[in-house]
Amino acid sequence: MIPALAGAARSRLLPLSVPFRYFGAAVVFHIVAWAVLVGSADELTTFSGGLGPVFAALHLTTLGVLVMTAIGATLQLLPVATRQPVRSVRAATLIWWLLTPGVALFAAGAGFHAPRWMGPGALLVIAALALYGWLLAENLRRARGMRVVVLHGWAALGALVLLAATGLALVARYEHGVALDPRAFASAHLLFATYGFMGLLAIGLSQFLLPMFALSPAPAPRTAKWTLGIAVVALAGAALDRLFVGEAAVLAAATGVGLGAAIAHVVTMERALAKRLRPPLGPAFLLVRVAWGCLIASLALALPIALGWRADGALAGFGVLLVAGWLLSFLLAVLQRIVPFLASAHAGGGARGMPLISSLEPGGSLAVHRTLHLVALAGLLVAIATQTGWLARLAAATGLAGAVAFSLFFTRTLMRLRAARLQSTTAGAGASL
Amino acid sequence: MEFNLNITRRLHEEHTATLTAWSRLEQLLTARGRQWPPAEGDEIAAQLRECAGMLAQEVSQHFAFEEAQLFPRLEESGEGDIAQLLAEEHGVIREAAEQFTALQARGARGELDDAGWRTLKTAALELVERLVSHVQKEEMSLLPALEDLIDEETDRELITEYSMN
Repeated sequence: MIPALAGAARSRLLPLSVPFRYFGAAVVFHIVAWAVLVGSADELTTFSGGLGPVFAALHLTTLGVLVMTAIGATLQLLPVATRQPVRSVRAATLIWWLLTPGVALFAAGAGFHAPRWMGPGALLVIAALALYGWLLAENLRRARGMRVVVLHGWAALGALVLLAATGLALVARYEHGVALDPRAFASAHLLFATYGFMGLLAIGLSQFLLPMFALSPAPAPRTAKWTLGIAVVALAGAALDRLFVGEAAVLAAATGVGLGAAIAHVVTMERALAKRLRPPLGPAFLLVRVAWGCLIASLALALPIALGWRADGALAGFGVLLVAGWLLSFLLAVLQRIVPFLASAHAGGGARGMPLISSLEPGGSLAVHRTLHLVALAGLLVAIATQTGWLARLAAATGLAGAVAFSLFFTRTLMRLRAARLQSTTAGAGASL
Repeated sequence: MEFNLNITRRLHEEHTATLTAWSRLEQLLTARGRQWPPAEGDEIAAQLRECAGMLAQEVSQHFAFEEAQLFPRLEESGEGDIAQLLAEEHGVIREAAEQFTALQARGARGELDDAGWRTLKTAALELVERLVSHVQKEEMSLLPALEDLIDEETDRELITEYSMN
């Protein structure tokens, strides 16, 4: 049923091993990121940048979990939206081989204050992102459907180029002492990575993925395009201010515009979901809604920060809301829906062999993960607000336990898929006798 | 998603009708405090009857049309694995539908014991999940692909043939 790994994909349905290798790596980096944070929780409450374990945990999350998941998901899902197969399955596989060791090397270098490791790690990551950027551009260039998703893809691709450029510049500064304003570049890099590449990709895929899960109509394309336009203006304004202007009023204005775009996105998505045909949304949507709340909260907190407010832990709280609250919660919610869905599509089987999605989905592990993830998130925010190191460590340990629960969900899904495939093969052999 | 062809719009409308009816049944079956087995004239009994009737239409016409007219087009365009996946799901749904409609008919005639009613409820919930998942896949992959593959003249031919069956 599934075509062999070939140079070019004829169909839009990729071999399961392609997206799942990214999801598997994301599951492992998710555990490592929380584990590193457990060991450096005291530093988290006052973190405002610079190398060290918190920086390593941040990049294990952003590159190791978020980007890894985004690449795996878009390689399989974007072709469905654009009605174009992936240009090269070999390239899609090679990206993983570059990105996985690259993230590990980069994070190890950052965690152990060893910039000489970060350089090669960053180069591998940049090579992986460049290859992914090419695949993404090829797919978007030939796209025939879902103009809104395609426009979000182009905007995310633009942000990807800029995040890679600013990231490389920062590594060059750490490794070779290149003269540049590290705070300005770090801020711009953060903006392009989180609200730009990851944020725009997540919002773009939401336009068709969430309605598909909820069996609801998609949000009105016109509103979604306007929201995207406003978000891009906000992002460009904030980045230009950080790199070239440095005026609090400009940054605050851009943040306010971004906040408006975020609220507009959430409102349009909720309106679309309200028209769903099937009332139960499923527990994953709890994480989606928490993620949306954190997106809005991160921008609301960014406003006073942009205007110069510097309470203890303000920047760390902003980072937790943005990375763990918005992006991580959202992607884990999506991952827990698409992993069983794709597994079911690839389980094969004749009539009696094809398993139900629910039979491939270990709900218990997901319920445990959901609870622990939300407790960890709340714990980190309280720890940062009260500057309590032990609470931050406890919250990180809770997050680590949640990540282990999520890995059990992933592993059990794979085991059930394997069992379903074996059953299907046996049934097929029996039928042919 | 908006569809521009008559045939894709028609199939989309049928998907919507199917999901509405089966989601209602799922709601009734999973609601707390509902009597099971349902009494005659109960809303659940009526919904079971409506869904069984819908399956006859869905399975005999909708599936057969897709298999005869649409999946071969999908296969010719290089989407053979998606066509095969959807056809396999048709097979599974047909089998589950046969079991469900037989049990529903026996239930309506008062021939089911407690174990039979439990099996009917399980069969109904299984069908909801299979139908929802199948419609999701067709809405995501089949209907958008047909929008690219079918021209206006073929669309007219297909909708005429489908409407006459």
